[in-house]
Amino acid sequence: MNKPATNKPTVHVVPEHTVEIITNSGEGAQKCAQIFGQTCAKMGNGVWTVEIIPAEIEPPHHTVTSTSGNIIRFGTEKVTNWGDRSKLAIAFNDQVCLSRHRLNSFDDDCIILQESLWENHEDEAIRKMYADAMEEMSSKNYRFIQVPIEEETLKVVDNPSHGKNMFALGLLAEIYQRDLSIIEKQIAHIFHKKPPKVTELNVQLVKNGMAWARENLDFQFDIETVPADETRVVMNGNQAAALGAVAAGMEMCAMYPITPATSVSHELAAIIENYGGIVHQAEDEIAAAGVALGASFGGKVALTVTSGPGMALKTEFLGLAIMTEIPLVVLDVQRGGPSTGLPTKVEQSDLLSSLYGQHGDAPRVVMAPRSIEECFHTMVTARRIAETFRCVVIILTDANLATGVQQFTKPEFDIRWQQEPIDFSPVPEGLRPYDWDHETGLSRRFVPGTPGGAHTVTGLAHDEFSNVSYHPDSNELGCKMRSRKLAVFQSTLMPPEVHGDQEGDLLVVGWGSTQGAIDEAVDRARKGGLKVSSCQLSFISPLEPGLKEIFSRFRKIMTVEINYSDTVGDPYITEETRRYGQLAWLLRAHTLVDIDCWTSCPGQPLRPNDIYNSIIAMSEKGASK
Amino acid sequence: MPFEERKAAALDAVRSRIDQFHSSLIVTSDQVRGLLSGTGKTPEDQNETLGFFAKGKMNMERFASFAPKGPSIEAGAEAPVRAAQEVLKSLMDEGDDLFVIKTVPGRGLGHQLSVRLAHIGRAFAAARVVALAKNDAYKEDKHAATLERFPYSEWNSSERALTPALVVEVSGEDFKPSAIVPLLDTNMKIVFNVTGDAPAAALSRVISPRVFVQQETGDENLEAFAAFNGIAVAAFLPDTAVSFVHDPSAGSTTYERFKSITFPKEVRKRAIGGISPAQQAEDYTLLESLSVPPEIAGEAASDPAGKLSAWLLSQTDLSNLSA
Repeated sequence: MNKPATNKPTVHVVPEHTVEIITNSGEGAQKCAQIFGQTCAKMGNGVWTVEIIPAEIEPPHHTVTSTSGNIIRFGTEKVTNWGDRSKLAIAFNDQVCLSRHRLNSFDDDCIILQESLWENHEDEAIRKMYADAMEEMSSKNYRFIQVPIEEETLKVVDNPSHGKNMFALGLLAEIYQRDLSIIEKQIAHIFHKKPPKVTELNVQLVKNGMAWARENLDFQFDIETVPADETRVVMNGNQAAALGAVAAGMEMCAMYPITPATSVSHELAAIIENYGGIVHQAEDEIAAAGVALGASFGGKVALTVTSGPGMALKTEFLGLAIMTEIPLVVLDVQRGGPSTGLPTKVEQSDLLSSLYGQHGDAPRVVMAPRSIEECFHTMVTARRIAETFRCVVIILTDANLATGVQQFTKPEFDIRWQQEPIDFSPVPEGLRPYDWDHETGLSRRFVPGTPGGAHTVTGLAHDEFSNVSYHPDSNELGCKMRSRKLAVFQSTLMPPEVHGDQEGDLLVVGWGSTQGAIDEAVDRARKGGLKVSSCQLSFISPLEPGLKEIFSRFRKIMTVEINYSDTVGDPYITEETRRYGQLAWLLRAHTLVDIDCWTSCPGQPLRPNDIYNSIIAMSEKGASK
Repeated sequence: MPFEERKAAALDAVRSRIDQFHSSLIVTSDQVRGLLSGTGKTPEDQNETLGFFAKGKMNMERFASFAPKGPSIEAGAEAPVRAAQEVLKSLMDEGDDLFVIKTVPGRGLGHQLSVRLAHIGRAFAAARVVALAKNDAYKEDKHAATLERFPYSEWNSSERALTPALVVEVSGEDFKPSAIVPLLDTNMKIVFNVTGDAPAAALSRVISPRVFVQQETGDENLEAFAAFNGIAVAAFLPDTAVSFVHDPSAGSTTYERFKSITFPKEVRKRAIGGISPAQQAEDYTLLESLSVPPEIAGEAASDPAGKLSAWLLSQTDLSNLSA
C-alpha cells in the first residue's frame, strides 16, 4: 500500500480524468460532486457526471449495498458520456470501495484516497471487514492513500457526517488545481438559505482538505481548461426536460412520483407557476394521465411524466388519447424492468412497450433525445408534433440522461416555441369533429367552447361526427386515418446523420442516451483502422426515412443498446430462438436487413471501451450481408 | 375576529368568483395569443416553432405545410390586439390585489369602487378591442381609451354576469353603503371589512328582495354569502352593530328572508361620518321593521281565520330572531 509523500507534487498533464466520490448513503457525495462538477464546468472543462444511487432509501451503512456517490468525468474537450474506468476515487470506507471494485469501476492503476479510520478501528469485526476488503482488492494495482477524513473534519465541525464531503472536495480541488473562489461561490449558493456560519464552515473544510492534500500528496493532475466563448448552463436531463417543458409553453404537468422521473416535476413545480402553469400530483399514474389528457382536451398544453411502471398503468388513457386524437406529450424516464425492476438504474427497455404496449392499433410518435441538451429541446418539438398531428408523443429518456450532468450552450428562448395552436374561431358549418383529410388523416381540433364545435367525445369507435359507430367501414377508416398521420409525419423527417464514413464494414446503430459512448467507441475503432461508422436515431416511431438505403452501404449493421438480448451459443439459444435487442427487433422488421446487436443491461450506462470491444468482436466475426 | 383574518375570510368567500374571472382572463388571453401567433407566417417563424431539436432532423417547411392554419389578423390590426394582450396580462399579474380595495378616507366609497371596476373592466374592453380589430372595426380614437378605463356603467349584461367580487377595506366613517346601490346588478358580490365605529344598521338600506345582505360582528363565517348565486353584500362590523343575514332564497316575504338577526345591547348615539344619530336610528328602525313577523291585529285578530294565521305564525321557527 502506498503512503502519502511530503515532496513537491509531480504534476501529470492529462487530457481528461474520471473521478469517483463514494460514500455511504447520506454522507453528501452528491453535493461534493455537484460542486466539483460545476466548478470544472465553470473553469472551462467538458463535464459529465453520473450518480451512483442505491435503490433503498436508507441502506445499512458500511456495507457494499450502501454505496452512494458520483462519478465525474471531465476533460479539456467536450465530454459526452461517463467514459471508462475511474482514475481516482475518494472512498469514505472500505466496503463502498469494494462495491465499486467488484463492478470493475476502477482503472487498474486507480489512485484511491480512502478514509483511514477503519484500518485500526476498535471493533474487531470492522477491522476484519477492512482487511478482507483490502485483500480482495489487492488483485489490482490500485494505489491506496489513507486519509484521516473524519479526524480532519472533526477539527471544524462536531458531526463529521456533515462535513466530510467538503473536506473531500478540498482534496479534489488541490489535486486538480480548481479555482477556490468558484468553489466558494458554489458553496454560498447551495447554502444560501442557511445561516452564513454554515457556508463559512463548509469553506473552511474545503480549505483544510486542500491544505492536507498540499502537505501529504505527491501528485497533481493538470487538465487544461478552455474558457467558453458562449454562455453555458450546467444541469441534468430531468432539469433540462423541465425547463424545456416551460420553454415549450406547457401549461400543465400531471404526474405521480416515480424514480427516476420525479425530479422533473420537482423542477417544474418550482418554476411553472411563474409562467402560468401548474404541476398536478395525481393520486396515481392512471389519474395523472387522465388529468393531463383532460387538460389537453380543454385546450391546454399538457404533459405527463413517468417511468416504465407508470407507463404500464397509463396505457388505457394513452389509448383514449389516440382514439380521440387529443394531443398528449408523455415523458418516460426509463429505468430497469420489468415490474419495479431497477428503480434508480439505467436501462433502455421501454422501446417496444412504448411502440406497441397497447391493445388495438394505436399509432403514436416516439422520440429519444440523445443528450442532456436535447432533453431540453425535445420538449418544444414534441409539443408541436403532438398538436399538429393530434397524436400522442412519447419521449424516451433514461436514468443516464435524467441524473447525469453536462454543460451545454444556453438555449436562447424564442417566443415562437410557445405559439398557441388552438383555433377558437367558429367552426364552419358542416365541419365535423373528425373531418379527416383522407390524404393526410389530419383534421381540425375542436376545443370545448369553440362556437359550433360541440360534440361527444368517445373512446368507442366513432365516425367523423364523433358518433359511436360499429360499422365496418367506419372503424376501418378511423384506423386508416390515425395510421396515415404517422406516415405523413414521417414524410417530414430527414434521414439520420451517419457519424464517420458514409460506407464501410460496420454501422453501429443506437438510440437515445448512448450516442456519446457509441461515437467515442467508433472514433477509437476508426483510429485503429476499422471501417466503422455510427448512426444514432432520434425518432423511433415513425423511424427516420432512408434507413434501408443507409444500411445498404455497410457490410454489417449492429445495434448497441442498454437492454437484454440473447447470445447464440448459450444454452438453448440458437439463431432461431435468439431474442434481439429492442431496436434490433424493430429495425429487422422494418428493413428486412439481417441486423445484429450487442446489448447489455448492467443497470448503468454503457462504457465506450465495452462498446469498442463489441465492435472489435463484430469485426473479427467478419459477417457479411 | 382580527382584521387580517376577516380579510382572509372575505377573500375565501369570494374565491370562486375571483377564480371564475381569472379563468375568463386566461382563456381570453389564450385566444389572443393564438390570434397573434397567426401573424408569424414567414418560413423562419414556422421553422422556429419546431425548436432546435428539429434542426437537421426534420424538413420544417414540409412540417409547416401540415400545421393547422390558426386564426390570424391583418397586420394593421396587430397593434391594438397586442395592446389588449398587455392589458389582459397586466390584470392577471395583479392577482388577488385586483379585487381588494383599500379605500382612501374621504374620497367617497362609491367613487372608489367605480374607479376599481373601471380598471377591472379593461378586461372586457380588451376582449372588445380584439373582436373589433379582427373585424376591421377598431377605431383608435373611439376604442383606445377603453383599454385605460372601462366603467361599470358601460358593461353589457354578459360582462356584468362575469363581474368579479370585491373585498373592500373601509373605515366606519366612510362606510356609506347607499353609495354602492348603483353597482348592485346581476352578479355583483362585495365584502366590506370595516374598521372603527360604524352605523349599527349600515346595510339596512341595501336590503331588497333579490340581494343577499349579511352584517357580521362576530366570528360567523360567510358560507351562505359565498354560496349565494346572485347579488350579495356582506360587511364585517364592530360588535356595536346589528348582525343579520338577509337571504333572498329563504322566503318570499321580507321577514322570512331574515335567517338570523341579533341587535346590540346598546347603540351609541353619535354622528359617524356625517350620518347623524337620527339617520342611524331610522336605519335601525327600518331593519327592525323588516325583520319582525307581522302581527295579526284588529278584526282579523278575533276571527277564526285570523286566529289560525296567528297560530301558524307562532309555530314558525323564529327562535333566532330577537327584537
